[in-house]
Amino acid sequence: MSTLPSQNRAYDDDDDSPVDELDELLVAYLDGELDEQQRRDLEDRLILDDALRQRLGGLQHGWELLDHLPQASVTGDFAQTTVEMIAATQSRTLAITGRQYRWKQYAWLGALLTSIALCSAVGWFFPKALDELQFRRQLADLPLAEHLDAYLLEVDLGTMVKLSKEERWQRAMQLAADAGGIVVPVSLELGQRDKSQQIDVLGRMDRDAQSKLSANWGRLNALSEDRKQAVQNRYDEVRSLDHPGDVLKTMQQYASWWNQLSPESMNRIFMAKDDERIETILQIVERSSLLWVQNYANTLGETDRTLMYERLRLMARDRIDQAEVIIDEAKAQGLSLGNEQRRWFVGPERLLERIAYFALWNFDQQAKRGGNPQPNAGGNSPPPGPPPAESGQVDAGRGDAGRGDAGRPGASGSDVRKSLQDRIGQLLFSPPSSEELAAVEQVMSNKALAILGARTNSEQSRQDILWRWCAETIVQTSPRRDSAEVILDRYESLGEEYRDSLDLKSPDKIFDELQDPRLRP
Amino acid sequence: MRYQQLDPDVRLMLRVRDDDEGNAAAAFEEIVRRYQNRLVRLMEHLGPRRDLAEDLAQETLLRVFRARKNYQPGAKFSTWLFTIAGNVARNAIRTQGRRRELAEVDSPGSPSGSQAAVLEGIAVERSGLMPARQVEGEERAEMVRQAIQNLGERQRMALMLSKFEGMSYIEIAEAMDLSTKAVKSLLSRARVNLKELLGPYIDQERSSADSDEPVDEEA
Repeated sequence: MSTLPSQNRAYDDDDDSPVDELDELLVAYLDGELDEQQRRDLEDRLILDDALRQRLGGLQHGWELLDHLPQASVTGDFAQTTVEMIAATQSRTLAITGRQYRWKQYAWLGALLTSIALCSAVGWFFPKALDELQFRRQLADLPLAEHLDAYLLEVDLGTMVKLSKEERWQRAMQLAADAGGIVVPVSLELGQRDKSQQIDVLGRMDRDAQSKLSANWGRLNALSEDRKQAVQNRYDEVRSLDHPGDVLKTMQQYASWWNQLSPESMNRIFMAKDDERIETILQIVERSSLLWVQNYANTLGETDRTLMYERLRLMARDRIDQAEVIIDEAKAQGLSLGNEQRRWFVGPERLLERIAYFALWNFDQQAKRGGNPQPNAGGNSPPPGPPPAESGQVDAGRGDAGRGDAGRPGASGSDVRKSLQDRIGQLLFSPPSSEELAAVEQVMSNKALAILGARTNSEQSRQDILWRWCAETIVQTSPRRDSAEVILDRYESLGEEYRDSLDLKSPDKIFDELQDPRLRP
Repeated sequence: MRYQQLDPDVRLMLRVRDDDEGNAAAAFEEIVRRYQNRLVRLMEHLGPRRDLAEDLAQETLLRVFRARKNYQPGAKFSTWLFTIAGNVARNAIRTQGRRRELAEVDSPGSPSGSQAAVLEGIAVERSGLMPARQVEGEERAEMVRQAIQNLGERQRMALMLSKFEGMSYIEIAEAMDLSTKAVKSLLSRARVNLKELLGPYIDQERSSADSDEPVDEEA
């Protein structure tokens, strides 16, 4: 009986194992990839060498067996369902036919078409003139619908005109656009186009824009007659200004920004005296700018995120190396760390996670207190499983990592050991120093650097924001390496109450939560 | 003459990209029809499960459509398509792998089981316990399918592109983002592994063919 393949032989991990040169030559021959000379040489050898012919035959026969695989056949409507599926998932409508395309593009006219169809069905006659009249009315309303939020703003138009000329406002809005702070849709300028141009623009709109326009048109028609008239009046007023485009843009920006404001800020603007209102708005928008910059961590580009994380990982690796040197020196003096401290020596990724989660916890605490970040201030405890900072001995300040008094002459044995632990803890877990953050900055894109510098008026605030970005980046980029078994063990080790609350969540959320480094032992 | 004027697939894809005369959908549907069977066959062997092949083929086509605006006719359309297909299959395998890892399920006959063992079982049954019986039809196809499943991901991809798509080493290298030398090695390993995996069956078929010959002559 012929030899069977070994059950233990792995065929799926041998891509890098050496290949027999002769097999490679024979395969290339069978694949027609040899040049004329190589092919002739091999054929000469094949004529003379029976074993070689056998070898070639084996390779060829195995290949030919692949012909016995049945032809794949798809279900009858595969092509149609594929195109439909794509059409359904794309924001841009597929042009299945020119007519269907137009119909889909004019989805916002659905209400009108539906009513026409309904009326036709019950035998009503719609004169073409009426149809045309309704269509014209709808088109006439579109410029109002496009910027409805701006025209609905309850703010003095003079304030908007002044604001549109304020450099501080424009700077803040530019930052908002760059950092994704607010989203202002691109104006289609429907008000400045004639009917045929409007139809043309509508035909080229993507589905999201269509939906938004359609929704706004619905909102406009749901307004009371007085309110609708007010919108029309505001529209006419803006059109009569010297630079209507600039003012309208400012109104759009203001409307988007307004929705982000706290009730207190809204109230401050309402209550400000007329001559102080612009300054009040500018002060508040500059505070918003700071938040946009801080939150830019969540919209950092993939390249920035990857490079920053890699640089931080090097930093962590370097800290671990330094700590190991200190420990070796201490060992030479007969000192060693306790069991608890040995657990600090995890890989650079885990170390980064610990530092980052602790930092984010600090930022949260700071936000709640409304003050400066002060780890462990106020007697609160950090999240479970963080570094020795939980003992309250790690200085949150940057740039002093690694200093300590281990080995200080005159100290007692336990003091020296404690000092060594503090020194190692501080070296490993303190926030990045100025130099470490400068190294991170070196790999960041110009856009990210520009946003970082846009609202930071001191080196300290620049570093604070950059550290926040780093912490967010670490948390979002850290590889998740826990095995299923570890995750399940962790789940089982949780308290019953916590488990009950977890069970109510979706599997993805449960998985995410169980991977949270704060739950790690 | 530019390459895209020769390759009808490229021309179709350009119509999809440029939404030529509003016929993007019709052009794309034609691409789907041209490639549907080939893509599904590829996915049957590259994907984590055969029953997902159509879904993965659709996912590939969806990605092609999404990427249409960036399509540049620099290579054969099929090379580009199969590059995307390879990525889709790889992602699906990873996703399935993660699910399996979490569920810790290793059901018999699932791709996570020892396919070498499954294959060996078939080989023993067919060639050892029933030596006189020819393995035919669906059984033979299943055996070959199992052998392919036992190859590494990259070997499988290279094999499928070479055998069923008739792609050259250079084209495979482009589709898989490898050097031609690496493709050459991959295909060599794939063929040698196939020979080993299907060895009993190859021997059986050969001996059967040898013993059949005189009978045929007598007949």
